[in-house]
Amino acid sequence: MATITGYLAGEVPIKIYEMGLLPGVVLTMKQQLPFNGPVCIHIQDNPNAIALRRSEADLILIESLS
Amino acid sequence: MTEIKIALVGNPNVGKSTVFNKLTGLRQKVGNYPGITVEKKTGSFTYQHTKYQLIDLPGAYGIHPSSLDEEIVYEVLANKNNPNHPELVVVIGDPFNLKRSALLYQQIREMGLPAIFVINMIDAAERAGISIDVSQLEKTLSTKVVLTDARSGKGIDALKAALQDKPNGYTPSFSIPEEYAAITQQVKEQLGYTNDYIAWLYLSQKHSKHLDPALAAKITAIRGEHHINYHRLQIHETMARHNMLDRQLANVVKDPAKKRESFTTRLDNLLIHPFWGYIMFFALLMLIFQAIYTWSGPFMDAIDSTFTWLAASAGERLPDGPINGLLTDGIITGIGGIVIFIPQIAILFVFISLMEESGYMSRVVYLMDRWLRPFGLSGKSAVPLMSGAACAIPAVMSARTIENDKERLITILVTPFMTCSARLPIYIVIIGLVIPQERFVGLDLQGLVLFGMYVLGILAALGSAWILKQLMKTNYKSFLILEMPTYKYPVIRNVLLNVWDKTMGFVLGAGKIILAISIILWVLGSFGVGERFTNAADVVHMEHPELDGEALENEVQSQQLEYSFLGTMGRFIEPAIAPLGYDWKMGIGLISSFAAREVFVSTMATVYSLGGTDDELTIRERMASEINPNTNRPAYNFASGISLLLFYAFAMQCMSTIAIVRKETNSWKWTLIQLTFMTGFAYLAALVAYQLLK
Repeated sequence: MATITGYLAGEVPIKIYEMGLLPGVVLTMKQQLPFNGPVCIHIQDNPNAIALRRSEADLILIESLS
Repeated sequence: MTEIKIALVGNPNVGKSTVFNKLTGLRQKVGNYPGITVEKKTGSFTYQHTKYQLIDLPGAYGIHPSSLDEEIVYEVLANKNNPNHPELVVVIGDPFNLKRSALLYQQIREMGLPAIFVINMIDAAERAGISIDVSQLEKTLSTKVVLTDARSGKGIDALKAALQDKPNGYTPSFSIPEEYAAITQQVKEQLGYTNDYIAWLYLSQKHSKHLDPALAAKITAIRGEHHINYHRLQIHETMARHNMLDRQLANVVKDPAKKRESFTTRLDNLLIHPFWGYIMFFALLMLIFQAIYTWSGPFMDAIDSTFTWLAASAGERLPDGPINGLLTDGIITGIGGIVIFIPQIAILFVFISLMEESGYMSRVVYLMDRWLRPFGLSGKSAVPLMSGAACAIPAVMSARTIENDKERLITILVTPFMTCSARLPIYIVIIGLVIPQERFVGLDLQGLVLFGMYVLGILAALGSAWILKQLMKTNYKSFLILEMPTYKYPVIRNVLLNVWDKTMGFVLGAGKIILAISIILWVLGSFGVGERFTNAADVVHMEHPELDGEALENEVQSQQLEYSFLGTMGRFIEPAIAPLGYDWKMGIGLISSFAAREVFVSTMATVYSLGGTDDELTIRERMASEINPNTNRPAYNFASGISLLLFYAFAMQCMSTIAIVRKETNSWKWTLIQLTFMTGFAYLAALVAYQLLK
């Protein structure tokens, strides 16, 4: 579990915001596929999962809650 | 009767197409082919003396487009002169993601469009313990809110009734930030007619296709003058709206349970597992191919014997002569050659729709992304590539969901290499002729070669994607941000409608071409100029005085074919194709295949029957007994057979695909590069194979 605190400088795709990956949102990282594959995350209270490439996930700054 | 145009809009995975299907029933049209509308699904229904024209727009998370699909939504809604511009918008919302749906709704209202709000999947939400304060939501959004469960049909009548009131009196919930207020006014003055939010939208879009170029240039100039990064404006708006909605919806949604969908989580533990996920996916692919070949068998046999019977009985009833040949060998055989693919195409689309409906398709994208990226493709390319195994036309269109221009273009360019069902009849006939019916390490050799042809198609697609990746540059960053919805039981009605649309699209599209080609071939093959055509009987009699009876007649007919317009064309290209091991008759087959490759077999049937009198033989027996006059060997021997297989595997021989690629890439340049590359490569591969094997 982690909270989104902000984003790295640079162009963050609008889709990230539209999906609700916004500052203050609590998320869980479910898994990552091998060989630097995409990651699967869950936003708290949202039953749908979100898949991101590592390069996009790296744009999101998080703070661990555990 | 009044007619009202309505657009259905919503986030992906909210059951929008189920609502659409429930509202319109079977009164819907899907344009799959050039000439018909491509980008939209439309339908209509009548309710209380009003006729409603419905447009199902692609799924979108917000009004700011980041893919071509979403751009359609923006273009239709922002441009008042767009032929599909609606008088009323119905926004379909997701009770599990109400904030996101409400965001899209507010954007649409603030563009000045009347819109009502629907919350779909309400049964699932109630089961999960979510309660929504509808009257408060109606106040917040200042509209009528309708609750539906499109699966069961609940609320659909209420929705129909709600279409009659047009909501108004909306207060924007997003106010243009102070620092941009003056600039937005500048844009508004340029436009001269619109509201603040539309002006803001033009300012925050990279480009708006419908805008007059001079006006667009002025807006770009305004952006430049104030050093505005349009991307920042979009982010600013989205974040501001989310914050606002957090407050607006705080007391609307009550979600005490907050424990969710353990079923999806458990299933995902297996289906997107780093190891078992791939095993399951490939097992599913194997199942699909098995199903395509084994389940379709009895249907195909039945269709085959029906058409054989049809051709034979038509042939008996009609008087002998050229018209008889046209009807039996050309038209009936040709149409049979298309109809026979209905079972396979339908089975493939059943699987593809089931994967889409259940939510599994997005897992395939997730699983495949890592492996397609090195080839310049995205995980989303997996869908077009898989559909390409049925038909490249819907496959090329499904590339629209790919956000990145370069990945989308590469996907479109390489998808036609995938072994589509139109290649199948050629493969099956030629493999049957040139590959011995033996077993190889316990497996059927012919089946193995057929499987090999599929592998060859995949390798050609990936290989050329890799080459294109090296050659092309892009300014856009490639990304994959994808929602993986909870698993749902597929709605059978949606699956059946989809299978019906796709199959009929293929049959009608290909059927028309085959019919046209059969008639053209017949005309070209039955007429000609010159002594050897018009006086064929005398010429043959002079050159071969020893012939008489049936042998004489055969010789006359085959000479007439050779000197007909059709034969002249075949002989004209013979020098180019002789090094590949083909004679002029096969040349005719190749020429006509450029309209659509599936006509090869029916063309060869027409050609061989025009040149002979024996109607007893099947097309396959005729092909087997055909002798290439240049080499005096069977026309379909091992070397020329392999050469033909390779040619058909790689060549771009489908006018419908060329047309759809032109439409989807909006570029003749890429369409011609694709055509030249594929056909050139096919020629080389066939040449090398024949020269090595002969």
